[in-house]
Amino acid sequence: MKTNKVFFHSNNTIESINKRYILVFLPLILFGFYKNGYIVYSKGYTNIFGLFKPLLIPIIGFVIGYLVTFILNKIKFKKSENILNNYIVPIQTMIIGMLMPIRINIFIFIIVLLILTIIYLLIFQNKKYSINFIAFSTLIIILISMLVLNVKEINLLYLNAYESAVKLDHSIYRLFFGFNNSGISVTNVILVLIAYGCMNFCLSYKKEIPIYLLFGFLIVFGINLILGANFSEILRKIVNSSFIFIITFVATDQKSSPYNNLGMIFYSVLIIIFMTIVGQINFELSLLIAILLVSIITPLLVKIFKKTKFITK
Amino acid sequence: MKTFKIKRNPDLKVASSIVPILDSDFCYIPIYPNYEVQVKENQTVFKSQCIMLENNQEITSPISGIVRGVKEVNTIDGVYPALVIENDFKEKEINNKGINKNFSTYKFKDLESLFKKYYVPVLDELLEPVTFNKDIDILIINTIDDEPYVANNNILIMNKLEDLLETIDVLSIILNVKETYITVNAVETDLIDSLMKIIGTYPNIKLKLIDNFYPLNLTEKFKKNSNLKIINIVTLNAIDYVLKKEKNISEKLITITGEYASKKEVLLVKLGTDLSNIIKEYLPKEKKEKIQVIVNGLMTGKELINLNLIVTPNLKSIHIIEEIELIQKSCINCGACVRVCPVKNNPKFVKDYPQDKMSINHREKCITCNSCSYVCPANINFKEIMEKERNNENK
Repeated sequence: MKTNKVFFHSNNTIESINKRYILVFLPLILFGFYKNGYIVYSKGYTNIFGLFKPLLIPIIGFVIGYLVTFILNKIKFKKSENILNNYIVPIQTMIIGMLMPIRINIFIFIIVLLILTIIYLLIFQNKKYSINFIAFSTLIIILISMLVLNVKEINLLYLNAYESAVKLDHSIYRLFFGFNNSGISVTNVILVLIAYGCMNFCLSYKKEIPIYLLFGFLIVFGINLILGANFSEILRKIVNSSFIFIITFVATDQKSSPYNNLGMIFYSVLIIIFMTIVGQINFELSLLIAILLVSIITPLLVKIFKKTKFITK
Repeated sequence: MKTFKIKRNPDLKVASSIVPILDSDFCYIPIYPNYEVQVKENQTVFKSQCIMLENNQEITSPISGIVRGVKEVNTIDGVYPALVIENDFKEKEINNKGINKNFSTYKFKDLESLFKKYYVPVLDELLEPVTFNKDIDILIINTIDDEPYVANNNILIMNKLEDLLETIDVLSIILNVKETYITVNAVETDLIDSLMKIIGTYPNIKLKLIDNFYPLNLTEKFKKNSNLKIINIVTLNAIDYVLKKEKNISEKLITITGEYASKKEVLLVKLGTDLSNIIKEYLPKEKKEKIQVIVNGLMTGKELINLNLIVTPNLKSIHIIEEIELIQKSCINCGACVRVCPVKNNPKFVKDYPQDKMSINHREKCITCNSCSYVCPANINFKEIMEKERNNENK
């Protein structure tokens, strides 16, 4: 009698997780297309390519992730698998596409993402630990773009042609509904919250991390308020960036974030500390930098303190 | 304890009546290491006659016939020698007392002496005998089958509702129970309807609806720190036999289902029956390539390689299913296994660091419900990992 086999399995598969991500991102991508493509095109500030650019970039991101994984598997491991059924890389590269500024050079995006994905897969594919690939790639692509396009202030990279030409109403209400300056498909806070709600039904989504982070940031902002900061300025900072999207979908990256409760709390606290420090220099990129730093140092902390039960990754 | 919902295919629901298959030519009663055989070869035995003793408790013959010797048989716990009894189909009994009408006047000492005499195992679960304590705070009679698609408890209560309620009532008086509950799966509306019509006759018994989650954890649904006693309805049926007829139950309910099973039913078979012919009858008519026969449930069960399986008290179900090939992928670190573990273990940690002290501790705590393997999106077989490590520890 064989006892060690599994005879019954839930619907929670890598494929179903990937499909769920695509489904929850679809409204965000469509809103990005409306805000950064349709409006700009209808006002006559861009051509037909500009109209479809907000749609193309997340799709290209997905395709790069898919193809690189497929080809590397074929060459290195001599196996051809159903990529969506086995890997989460295409979703990670799609998120990178969604986080890109609208003024990104599409060729820089393709070339850099292609190289980074290959390096990531070669180094981390079968490793227990991994850095946060989304945060790392997004930062690298944005920094290279700033250098190539000679943009000194990052905010300018996020403005589409229409937004940079006219003075728009920047009321918190409008910013909250997605008319702010941030990544192509990550601006609409309402849609991000709906996406978070949908992902909550997925067993493999680390829904606790955004809660801990939000709670921690609220404490930090509360302290700032006590110290004399302006409330609407803080709120504007949060809404007018990809803050909500990053804590919901970048900080919860499967491979690089902890999966046990204590680890998640520790991870969130570290992110808040790093962000508070880096935020003094650059608020827009501080959260991504903090997530990246924490994803790099937690395995080191695990090794140093041998508290694997505490900070499992 | 964390619980979660399991997907259930309505096509695998069993028919509501019990199908008796009681005409096996031979009965094979396993002789476990501490059993003392009380009969000899070629001896004629009657139904309910003591054939073995376990700790001075009687194990009785489920049929009448002739002892034909000892033969090695396959049981769910492994290969054991078994006493072979050839059925004469006469069902002759030495002392057929009929139903004891005075059983409702029994005191605790009567109950103790009866259960000292007869070996009544915890049916569907263990080979160990049922034990009783007096002055119980809460007596829980469970009608819910923990494993998905197993329906022994549910079908039995549907078919013997009045008899069993009477026994529950008597038992609660004998054990001096403060509160008696009958737990019912909240989705079993037919059973709830039937119970609602009759339960008013037994003011001591209360109905408790339990949500359809896995694994079933009844203790958490009741007052903490209270003296609880949980009895499954199939075991209560065996207790009912001893109380009313002063003899051991000789039959066993077995659910037979699965997408490849030709019929989905609950069978009533004699203890000691060789199931091979019965299983063959339930195999699909057309030849299928990849068939698996699983015993005792899809979540925690075992794959049957040889169909010659003997019915023992801890055998509860047979699933005939299509063989699923789960290809193990590299872990995506999602933590689903940790999220569903009912005893708050960390299965991924146990997998990654098997020699760590915490891993050893977690393996000891593990209740082998297999929830971790069920939800893992990378198809990691934690069941195999845990078993391998446990075997290494035992060596």
